[in-house]
Amino acid sequence: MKSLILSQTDLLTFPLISVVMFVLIFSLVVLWVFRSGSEEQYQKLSILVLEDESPKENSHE
Amino acid sequence: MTEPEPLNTHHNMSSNKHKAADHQPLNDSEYEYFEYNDGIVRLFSIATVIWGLVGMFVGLFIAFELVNQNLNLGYSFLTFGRLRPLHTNAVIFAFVGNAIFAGSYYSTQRLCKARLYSDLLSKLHFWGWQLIIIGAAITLPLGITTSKEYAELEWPLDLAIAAVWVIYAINFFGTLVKRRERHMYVAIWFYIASIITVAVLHIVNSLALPVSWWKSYSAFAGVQDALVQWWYGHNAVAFFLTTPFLGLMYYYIPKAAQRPVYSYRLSIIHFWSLVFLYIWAGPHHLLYTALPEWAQTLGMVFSIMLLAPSWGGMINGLLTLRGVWDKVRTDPILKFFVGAITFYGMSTFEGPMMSIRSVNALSHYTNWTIGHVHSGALGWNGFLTFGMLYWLFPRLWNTKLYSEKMASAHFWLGIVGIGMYAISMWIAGVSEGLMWREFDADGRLVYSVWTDMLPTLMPMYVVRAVGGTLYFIGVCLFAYNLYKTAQSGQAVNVKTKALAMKPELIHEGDHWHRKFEGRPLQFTVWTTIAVLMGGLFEIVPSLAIESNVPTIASVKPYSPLELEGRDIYVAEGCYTCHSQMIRPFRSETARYGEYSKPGEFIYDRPFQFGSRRIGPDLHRVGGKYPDMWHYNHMLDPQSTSQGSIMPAYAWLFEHELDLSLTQAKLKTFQKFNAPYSDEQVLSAVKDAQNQAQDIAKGLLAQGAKQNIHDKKIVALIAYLQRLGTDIKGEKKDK
Repeated sequence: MKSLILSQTDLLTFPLISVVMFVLIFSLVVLWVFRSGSEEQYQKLSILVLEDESPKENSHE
Repeated sequence: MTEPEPLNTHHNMSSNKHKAADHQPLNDSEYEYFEYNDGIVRLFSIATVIWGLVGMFVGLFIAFELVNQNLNLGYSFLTFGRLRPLHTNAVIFAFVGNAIFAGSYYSTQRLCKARLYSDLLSKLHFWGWQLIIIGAAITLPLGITTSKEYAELEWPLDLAIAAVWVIYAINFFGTLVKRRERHMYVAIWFYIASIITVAVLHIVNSLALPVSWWKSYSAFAGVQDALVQWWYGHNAVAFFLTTPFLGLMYYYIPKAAQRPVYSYRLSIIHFWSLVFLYIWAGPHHLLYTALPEWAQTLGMVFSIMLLAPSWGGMINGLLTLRGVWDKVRTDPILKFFVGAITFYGMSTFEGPMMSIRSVNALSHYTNWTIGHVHSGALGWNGFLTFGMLYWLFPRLWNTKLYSEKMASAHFWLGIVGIGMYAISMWIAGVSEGLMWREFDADGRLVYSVWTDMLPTLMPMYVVRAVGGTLYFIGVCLFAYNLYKTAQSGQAVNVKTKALAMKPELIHEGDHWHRKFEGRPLQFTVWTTIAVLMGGLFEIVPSLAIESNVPTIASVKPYSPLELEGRDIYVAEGCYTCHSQMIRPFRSETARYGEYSKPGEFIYDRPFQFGSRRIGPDLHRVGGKYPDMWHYNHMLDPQSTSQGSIMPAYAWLFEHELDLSLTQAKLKTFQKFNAPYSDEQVLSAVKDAQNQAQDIAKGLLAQGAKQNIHDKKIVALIAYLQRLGTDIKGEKKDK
């Protein structure tokens, strides 16, 4: 069944489908990442990596 | 130089703390106290250094073997063909692999604010991986290999790799589950993608039927095997040498620079674009081969698209250093990181360019590819690992780096070494690519004799070996510097505290993707779907449709002796210097004969297309020379090919031909639907002996000094004489 379907499919459609899928997903990710009001959130996330050595955090105790 | 962070005094704050802190003051009872498992990080770090020395020394040795082919001193286990897979495996899986484990275990614990999931699994992971490496170091020089590049290890070791990888995955994901930090920082995303994808790649590409403990045949044949192999091979580069290192980059560069990543937004786009695109690009290793054209085009287009996310990552890494560029002049760690990112940028520009068909027509099978992979491996992987370990060792041993000057010297030795290596290989690659295709005014190949090209290439091989020596001296300094650093300090485990992650706070009022990022399982599933897309669209059609590999009636399975000869060809690593794939170019058909057809390889398990032509293509070598030529050539290559850099294979004239597995081998091929009859299986040994006798008698008649009917060389000659001849039978039939 699978082979039958595949054998009757134009193989050129595979690269086309894949490019369309990528463009769609890429566009969605870009739109989501640059949504309004997300700047502050990303700034917070980007400093996660530095948190465990921040002197202020330590003195906060 | 960045100072080590103060140890044993951290009071880590989870981001959920900030939320909680908005509402109520914190008191000490709200914290959980724990200790990081830095012992395992130390073990993996030490292993990285040791295996780095071993793997790079072997690489240096084989570089010199191309300058002087007698460096193997006549020993089979020291020949280029056997040591090249050891070099690649040692550098990729031992040096880089241990660096990934060290770096990911250290950073994941800090980013999750949690000790690793299990100390027992950590130990099993470490010792299991080292045993596999030792297994590789023993089996590969002995010629026990599948010949599938970067997947040469035989099936028992493949199973061990799968088991250890599962242990790593459980330990890693277990740590994510028990984490105290709600958000999974972007470095962890890259680790997740790497762990999942490497598992899928390894399992699919290693599918094989065992014949004995140390011999198996690939579940795929010919073109399909090539497609699966390079889907694996390319993505081993992607998900073993790139994505985990991008994870390390996103953690260690901000740490060393004391700056947050330039753009967290860009890192998200970088991640999803990269994991989605990378998996599709494998077929660029098979351009102009017998692979279906649509798959080649798919690989090329996606390889070019890959440039965008790769450079997005590079820019993000470099711009993280904004404001601290002055430190790069004095801090050797930042020097290494800048060097690593720069080489990443150059390699990820060069790779897509080499994937363009017209460029690939020139570059493929040449030293250009060798220059490309080494600028990536030595520059990106090497430098990032050096920078990371220079940063880690003082922290793991609670001390300062022994010598910053030595680290700086290491950096400059490395830079000059890579420069000499890459530039010499680019020149050699373009030169030989042009020489292969040069015709004179009468339409004849200018360099029709292969060895006529060697005088042009030899100076470049010398420069490459000198560059490699400089790089290796740098690595020796690195090892000494780290040894003295560890010696001057004391191993410590960091004790810390963090707020527990309260379930009720995890998803409160969060954006959907924020929730998503906080859920390891869902995140992993979607990452897996993204990386599997390429496999589904690229491999499944090729495997499912028989018409992708049209059969040729005259192509028959190998005779028992030829099959044994093929296994010797594989064991000796002949594929590391010789391709078996004549591309449809005038220059190639004029040199080698008719171009290769997909249907010619249907009994080739594994395929032997090769990836490099240090010597000429062998696909149509069958019948090109008499048996006596092969006899003399294998005994003394320079006697038949003056100026050849191929070593002598004297041991093939001494070692007995082992036919104890011949029947089992044919039976295995029967399981793959190869048309061997039961009678052929039963008489396999006798048939092999008869064919060997015929060849040996013929050689004696032609003046051979030795009766080789029971030596390995007879099987190899039988195989070489069969290569590419089936299609000639088809022409005769027509």
